[in-house]
Amino acid sequence: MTKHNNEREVTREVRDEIERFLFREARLIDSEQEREWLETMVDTEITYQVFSRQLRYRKDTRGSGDKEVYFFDDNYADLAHRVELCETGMQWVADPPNRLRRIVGNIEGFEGERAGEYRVYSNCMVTRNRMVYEQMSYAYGREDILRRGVDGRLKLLQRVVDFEERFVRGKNLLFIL
Amino acid sequence: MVDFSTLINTKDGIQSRRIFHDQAIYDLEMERIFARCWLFLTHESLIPNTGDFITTKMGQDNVIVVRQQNGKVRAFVNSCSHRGARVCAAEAGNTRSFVCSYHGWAYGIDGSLQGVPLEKEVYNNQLDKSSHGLVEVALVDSFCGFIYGCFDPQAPSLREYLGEAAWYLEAWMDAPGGTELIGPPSRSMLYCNWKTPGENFIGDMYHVGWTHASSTQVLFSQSPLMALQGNASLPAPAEVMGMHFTSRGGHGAAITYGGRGGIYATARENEMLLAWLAAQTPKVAERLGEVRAKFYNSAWDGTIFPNNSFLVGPNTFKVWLPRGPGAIEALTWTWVEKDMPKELKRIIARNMNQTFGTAGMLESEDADNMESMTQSNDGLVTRRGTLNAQMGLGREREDVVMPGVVSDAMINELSHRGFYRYYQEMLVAESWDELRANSSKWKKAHLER
Repeated sequence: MTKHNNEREVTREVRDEIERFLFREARLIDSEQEREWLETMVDTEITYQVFSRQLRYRKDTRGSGDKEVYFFDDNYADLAHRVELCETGMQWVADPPNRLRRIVGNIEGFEGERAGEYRVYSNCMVTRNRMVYEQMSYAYGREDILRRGVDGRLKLLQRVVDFEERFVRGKNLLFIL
Repeated sequence: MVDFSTLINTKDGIQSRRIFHDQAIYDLEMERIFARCWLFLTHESLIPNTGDFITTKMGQDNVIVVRQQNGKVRAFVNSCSHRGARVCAAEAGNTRSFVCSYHGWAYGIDGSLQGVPLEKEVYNNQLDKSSHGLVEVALVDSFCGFIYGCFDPQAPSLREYLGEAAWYLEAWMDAPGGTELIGPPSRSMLYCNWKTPGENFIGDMYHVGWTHASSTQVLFSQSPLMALQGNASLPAPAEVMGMHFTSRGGHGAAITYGGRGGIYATARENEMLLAWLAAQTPKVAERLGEVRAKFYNSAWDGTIFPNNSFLVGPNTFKVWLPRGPGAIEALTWTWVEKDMPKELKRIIARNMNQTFGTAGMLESEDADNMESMTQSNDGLVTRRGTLNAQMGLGREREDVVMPGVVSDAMINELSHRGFYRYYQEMLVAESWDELRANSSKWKKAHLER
């Protein structure tokens, strides 16, 4: 992931707006309001990617093959499928319901490459409680692009998560990261 | 003391629940199955050049698989012959040597001990380096580019081990131009016994409509598999929909006719795959015959004994690495045909990860079943009982074209019964000679009523 340390920071006003956006998003996803999230917070041109890197030696530049595997490589239609899945009433893995709780922090906002776009970094800690005995935790960083729509509201245009836990002990990542 | 010969009743389709729990059984599985069978390692396409390597596990043994100067692939136990630390911490890459992180003993890619720091000063030049190479995996071979290894030098060849299953596997593994895996694998933990996902993938088409009721409805609306949704009715008799096979070595699959297409997100993506299949089918038919050309266009779920599963359609390729009786590490790759256009490969990989990857919608649905099937047997009274895999009993037959034992019913547990038949045989047999002696009569357990 490219870091843009020399980018222009957003104004305090926009920073507050970005923070409110990320907190509202966290609340909607964690309270099973995925439809509301999709329709009010996600740009229809979204790219949503979560990938895992194969662990190789720092000096090794000659190895063959891809170095990443994409857990998510979704567009809007793919995300809509995931939301529909929750709405079928037959998704046994979420019944009894899973309980998600996330903490979003280390939020930084910079002016994006195009007007009305912001590059946003944040860190997430998610705990998923499900069934009687299962508790799983996930920590990861997000690199987002938010875009201001014609209605003046921010929407998620791009999310990239370079997922650090190579061997996923929490079984799966079947939730919006 | 466990009587290992009474765990499985193939003729009646009954298995002891203890095979999913007992440590003594697990220890014997490591010795008699994982130290004796051919186990999946990697694919030729992932280590094409000299010095290319991957690390993985055979049973619970850590191994390095590396391409040699002469182009051959060899595999070694990833543990220094000095004090046992690992000699490679990376998952993959390219190297000229493997160096132990503890004291710096260095091994060549041929496994030989090449360098010992301060050899003259601290060993007085008396260390016999020639007897301190890495322990080598006795047998390494590949089938249609898929590389397997075996610790037991007495084992049959890989081709012989795959037996009748090889004839079926060629229908997709040996596609025109060949197949490849898209690496690296995803890796995740499941708290289930290693046999549980294996028996699910080997041919359980019964669960598709129920376990996956929500995802078949959302994702497979253009697929013949949609007909299974909700397990309410079948659109055609099960024998019209597909078939089941089992083989000498316990490998098996369910094949759903015409089911390979129609599972992608958009009509355009589906059309792309169908056009590809239509263009390749005459070539497959010419080389492998009409029956296997039909299989090439079918959806499959199958398992290569003991712990290697695959799907044709969602194109997933899996290994279930055991971590004790109640846990596994699942490794997941996407497989594609080498000659496919780049865009089609990407569509297939996307679809595979959306369905059977770490954030896969169907994968997570299976996981709960696999875990509870295992964990219920923690109960003493529960595990005194047995399990039922009787579906399709009495419908097994031999065929003039299709090898092994087949059944014309696609929703069936014939391949489960074959898996556990061989499982018990492996546990009980002292040697490969004993196993070979049974080879002429293995079908009886399925066919004689």
